[in-house]
Formats: sequence, C-alpha cells, structure tokens
Amino acid sequence: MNALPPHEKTSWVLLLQAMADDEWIVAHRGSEWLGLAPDLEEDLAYSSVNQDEMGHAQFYYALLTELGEREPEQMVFARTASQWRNACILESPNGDWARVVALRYFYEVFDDIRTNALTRAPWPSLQAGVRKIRREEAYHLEHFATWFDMLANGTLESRRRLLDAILDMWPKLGDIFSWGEPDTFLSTLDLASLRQGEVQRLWEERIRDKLHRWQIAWPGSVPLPAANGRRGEHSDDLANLLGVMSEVWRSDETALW
Amino acid sequence: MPQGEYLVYEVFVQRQALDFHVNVGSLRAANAEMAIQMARETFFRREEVYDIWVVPEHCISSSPHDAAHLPVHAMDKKYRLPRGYDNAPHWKKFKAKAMTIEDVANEMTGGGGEGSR
Repeated sequence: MNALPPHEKTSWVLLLQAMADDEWIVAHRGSEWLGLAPDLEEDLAYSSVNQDEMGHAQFYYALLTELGEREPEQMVFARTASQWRNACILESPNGDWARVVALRYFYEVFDDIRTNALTRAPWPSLQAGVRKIRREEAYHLEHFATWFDMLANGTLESRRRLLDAILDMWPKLGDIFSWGEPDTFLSTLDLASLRQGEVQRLWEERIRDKLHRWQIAWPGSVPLPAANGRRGEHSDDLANLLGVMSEVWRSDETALW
Repeated sequence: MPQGEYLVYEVFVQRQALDFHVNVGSLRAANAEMAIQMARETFFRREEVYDIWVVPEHCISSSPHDAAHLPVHAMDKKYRLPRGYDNAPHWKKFKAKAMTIEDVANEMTGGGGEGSR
C-alpha cells in the first residue's frame, strides 16, 4: 500500500471508513435481534446476514490498517462516538420488525450501488474483496426485498407498520449518501460515480419503483440531514451503542483474546 | 390451517448436478420464495449445493404404513436378479499358467518382445 501517493491515501481512508463503520454498526444493531426475530428460521438467517456484514467491515478495517489507521480492534472498541463515520439512521434503536425490514431494504439497495461502483476501483485488493462481498450482499438484498414485499402485501397491520416505519425514517436518511467532504476527493480515486448526488439519484430511482409497485406514495426526494454522521455528528444512540458494545473490552483493554 | 400460520416445507437438496434430490429436513415459511432463502441459511450455511427444492408438506402423499402397502420380499427372489458368471478364478488360473515369474519381471521392467515404445 505504500505505493499509493499521500493525497490518495487520505481519500481512500475517507471512503473506506464510512463503509466499514456503516457495515459494523448495521451488523451490531442486527445482532441485538438474536433470539428475538419473528421466527426460528429468520433468527438463523438474520444472524447469518449480520455475521456476513461484520466480516465485510473487518475486511474494510484491515485495508484501513494498511493505509496507516489503527488496528481493527482499536477502530471498533477504542473510538469515541464523534470518531465514527457511519450514517446516523444505522445507529438508531431497532424498533419493530417492519422498521428493520424497511431500513435494511433501503440500506442494502444503497450498499449495492456503492459496492457496484467499487468493482471498478483502481486498487486490486479492494476490487477483489468487494467482488466476493457482493456475492453475499446479493443474498441480503434478495432477503430484505422478499420481506418488504411480504409486509407491503401482507395484512393491514403489516402494511401499516411498514408505512409508519418508512415515513418515520425518511427525513433521517440523508447523510447516508454523503461522504462528509466535498465530492472532489472521489475523482482522485477515479470513482466519480460515487458522487453524493449520483448515488442518491440511483437509489431514489430503485426505491421509487419498489414503492410504486406496492402503491405506496412517494415521500419526495430525501432531504438534507440535520446531523451528518459522516462528519462525526451523531445522536446519543451511538454513544449508548458503543458503551454496550465495548463494555467487556474496556474492563481490560490489554487482555489477549 | 389457522390464519397466520406458516406452511411447513420439506427441503430437498441436490448436491451435484448428477445427484438426486435428497430430503434434509423441514422448516416453516410464509411462502416458497422465503422457504428457499431460509433453507439456504438453515441447512447449507457451510456448503455449496447445486439445487434446492422446497415442497409444501401437504403436497406430499404418503403410503399407509402396513404390510399390505409397503413393498416386502417374503419369498426368495434371488433367481430374478441379473448376475454375470464369476470368471475371476479362471482368469487367475489361466494367468498363473501362462506366465512365469520371469515373464512378470520382464513385463514390469518394460523389456520383452512387445514391440518398442
């Protein structure tokens, strides 16, 4: 990795930290469902999905270490909330299953667009890893699309819960498309297709089709967020999450696992 | 079926293209599409397979479990089984006669009059 020029390193860190933190936080919130999913089969499937996401985060953190960032364990357990770059919506508490289905469907579509662009990243080890990751992500997307369809087309209650969840989270989704910095850094990586406006346009196109299919009114373009997680602006939810997550690690930070 | 109750699906896997589908267990799911996704996670998290079938349990017809309905072989029907003649001992004898130990050694070292390579 020493072959990359310094300005490129900064850009890669910006990009990969957002992705690693998104994957880790989404997986941690997912792990809180263990034993609580709607049925036994989903309990297995959803834990498997979240373990996959942790694996993806681990892959991105390992690349960040190559770029000179801290070791993965430090990145996960030792950072304070303002040092995390995940989108705010991912750190919010789980809510009911309909909210999980809506959020994970929205997130998986977004992650599909993002990882698709990275299959052409001018960094061979990243490109190769992302291609493997996408084989698992294809399944995640399919799984939550199926759930979304089931709830949208299920009972009156499932549909109502799904619509409530969508309307509630819609105004809080905006920072997911942001990188926390002006998009110009992406051109140094030859990844202009990851520009905020471009990713949001592709995402809204796909989500609009899905909502239209189930006669769910389009809530309008996702507005700009009040707080931007990509700049380290987070709610207390993240601090609480980190407190729970790192509780054991902090009891003896030098312990070998 | 009570409203809201999931169907039971029997899961069959074909591990390789030339294998038959084999039943590996059952699970509950809201529909066939979900049953296939769940089968993948429940039974095949750590192996690659060629194909998965899920079949609603109520679509399977089962034979009654009594002697009148299940195939049994009460009589000796070995005479119906296709078998060949057992020629192996004859070949052994023939070879033992036709070949001396020198012939065997010759064959193993690649010499002898079998034409040149």
